[in-house]
Amino acid sequence: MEEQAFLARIRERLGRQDGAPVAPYRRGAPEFWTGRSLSSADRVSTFVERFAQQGGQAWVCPDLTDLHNRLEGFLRDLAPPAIGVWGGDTLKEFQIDGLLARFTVLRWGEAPAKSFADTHVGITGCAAAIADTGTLMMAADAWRGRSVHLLPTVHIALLHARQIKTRLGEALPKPGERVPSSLHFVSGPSRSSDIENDLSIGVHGPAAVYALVLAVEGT
Amino acid sequence: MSQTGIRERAKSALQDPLLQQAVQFTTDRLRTRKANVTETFGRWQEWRDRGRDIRAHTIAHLDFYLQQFADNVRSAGGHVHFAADAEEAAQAIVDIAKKRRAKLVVKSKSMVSEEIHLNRHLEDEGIQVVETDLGEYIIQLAGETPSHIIIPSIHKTREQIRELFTKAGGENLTTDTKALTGFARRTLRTLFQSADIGVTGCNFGIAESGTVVLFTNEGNADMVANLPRTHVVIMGMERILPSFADLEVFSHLLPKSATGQNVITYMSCFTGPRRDGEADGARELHVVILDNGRSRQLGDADFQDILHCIRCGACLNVCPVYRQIGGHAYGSVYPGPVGAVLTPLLNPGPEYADLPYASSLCGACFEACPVQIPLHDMLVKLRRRHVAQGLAKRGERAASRGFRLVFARAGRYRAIIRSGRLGQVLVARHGGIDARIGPLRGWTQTRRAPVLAKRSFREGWPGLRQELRQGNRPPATGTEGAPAHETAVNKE
Repeated sequence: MEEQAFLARIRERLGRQDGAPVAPYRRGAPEFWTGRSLSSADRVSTFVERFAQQGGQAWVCPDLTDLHNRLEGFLRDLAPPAIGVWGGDTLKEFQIDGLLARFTVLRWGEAPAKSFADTHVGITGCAAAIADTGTLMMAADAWRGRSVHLLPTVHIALLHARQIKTRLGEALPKPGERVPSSLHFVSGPSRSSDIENDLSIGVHGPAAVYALVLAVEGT
Repeated sequence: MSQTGIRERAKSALQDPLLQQAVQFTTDRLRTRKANVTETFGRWQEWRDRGRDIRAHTIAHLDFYLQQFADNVRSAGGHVHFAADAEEAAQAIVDIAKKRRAKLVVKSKSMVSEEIHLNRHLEDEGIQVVETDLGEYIIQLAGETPSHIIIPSIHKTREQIRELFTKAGGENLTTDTKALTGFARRTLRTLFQSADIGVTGCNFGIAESGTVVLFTNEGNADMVANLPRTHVVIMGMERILPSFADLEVFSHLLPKSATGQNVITYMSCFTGPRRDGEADGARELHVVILDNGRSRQLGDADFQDILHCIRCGACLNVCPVYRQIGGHAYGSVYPGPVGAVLTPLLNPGPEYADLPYASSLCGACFEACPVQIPLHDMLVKLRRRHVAQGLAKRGERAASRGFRLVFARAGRYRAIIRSGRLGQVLVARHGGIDARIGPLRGWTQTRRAPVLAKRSFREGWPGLRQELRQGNRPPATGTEGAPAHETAVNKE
């Protein structure tokens, strides 16, 4: 159907005039919700707790050395044949290149996108995290491919404590802001209860999601 | 409307104890989880109020927001198609598939795609269609349709699933959940990689940015949307929210109401196709916007609010009727209370006119609804509409006429009660009536009808009134026959 005819039918049924102004309304979450704010320490502890409730695991790392030790521990245990990583300088602050040297690493923007289908671990940063719900937000661009955290069995996200917001509304795009082609909010591993209500993990997306939260400013 | 209406379908559902057990277990579980999560979250009524306000505002200005949404989809590089009915929507998608010479289409769960019978249309063109939500994959292999909005395969046992997966090529599968999901993961992964087109629904379209938002737990919608070259979104025209700020409200209302989850596992926001320099994501994005009877509800004070629905399924989980008969008995895409309202509205005429009667009018659906749609009122108004249109059955019309005749005059009412008391002697046994005769048949088929009291409340009232005037409470055991409160209410 032609677009204007389609819209005109709606307008007629509603009894509205073409170009009639839009009435004001109470937009967004209730004020008691948007008015809340957690201290930075509470944001971190709430995120870690809620992320675990969602079936993920998050650790607070006091410094880079601790973060490296934990990441190295994961990779030693997982022994992945191939690791996918965000490309360019996106993870520079976390200084993980040396640690990854012993592994087969595919970098987004350098290795072909299709080859990420065979990665077992994906390492990414995030655009923001949300304390209320234990959520990671990934925004796509040339160096931050969607496949890096979508296709592997294990997703490891590296983030700074300062990236953790209290609530979802703070991480969502503001009016007029340029919105990335893909904004992906991830709260724990892939789950399904479709077989006799029995929870199963990793039916399509990653079966394990880890977050390493760097508590001090990166160098 | 006929013998193949909901009555017959419900009867066959009621003869399937496995189905009933599964439906009751699932709805209990979802309902309890919802109660827990909303209590922990707190101030749920205020969230519901805000949800209803935002939906009401959006629908009241739908022409404006839909135009804004379409403009922004296009400026982000996507294509928009407007479809007046199911046929047009299916044709639009078939055209895209033919142009892309598609052989394989992967899909994530979409009620609207069921509404337009998309799979049949694509398969008629020789295109293979694969459902990728685990539950939908299972029922597609079984050649069936969904029985619950949120958990479509609640009626399948793990043994049945193992058989279906084995037929689909699974080797040495056990009935272990892990083994079964593992097979689905491996099989569907290869299909995601080789599919030409991915079709998804749309939970919300954000007008201010032209963003399509999907809520999923499995992650299959992300595969469907990102891996094939072309992403086709099919959405009902009412699925709009004005802004991202409003999405925050529904990011709480939807998963908490649907499954009692505090947050959905994946919330995916697509704004146009992949951009320059990006190496994944669909290269081409099409959004098909469907009317199919929805605009007819606009401007109708009785039914416009049905377009506020966010398809959470909470009304199914609290409905005493759905609980007994499951989703298939509703005979259409949308089951439960919302289906009993929406289906006859979108498809007027005799075919679904009996659905509004599949309700006890208890109002539990309204209480559960995160945007407070008065579904129980709508069910009554739909019945009235069907009577006005002459769609009511002859027996029902006669019964209503008789009811009016008797209840309009006190004398007639008294007379009919008296003759009923005499007549029931023929059929009453031990204080109840089991005989399946006359107008009682509908009741006595499955239950006992109580006998009429020896003395009605009206007959006892003069004496009762006198006692009340004298300031005496009625005695526990009366001197003249039974006490007033026992004559009024049958104790059987």
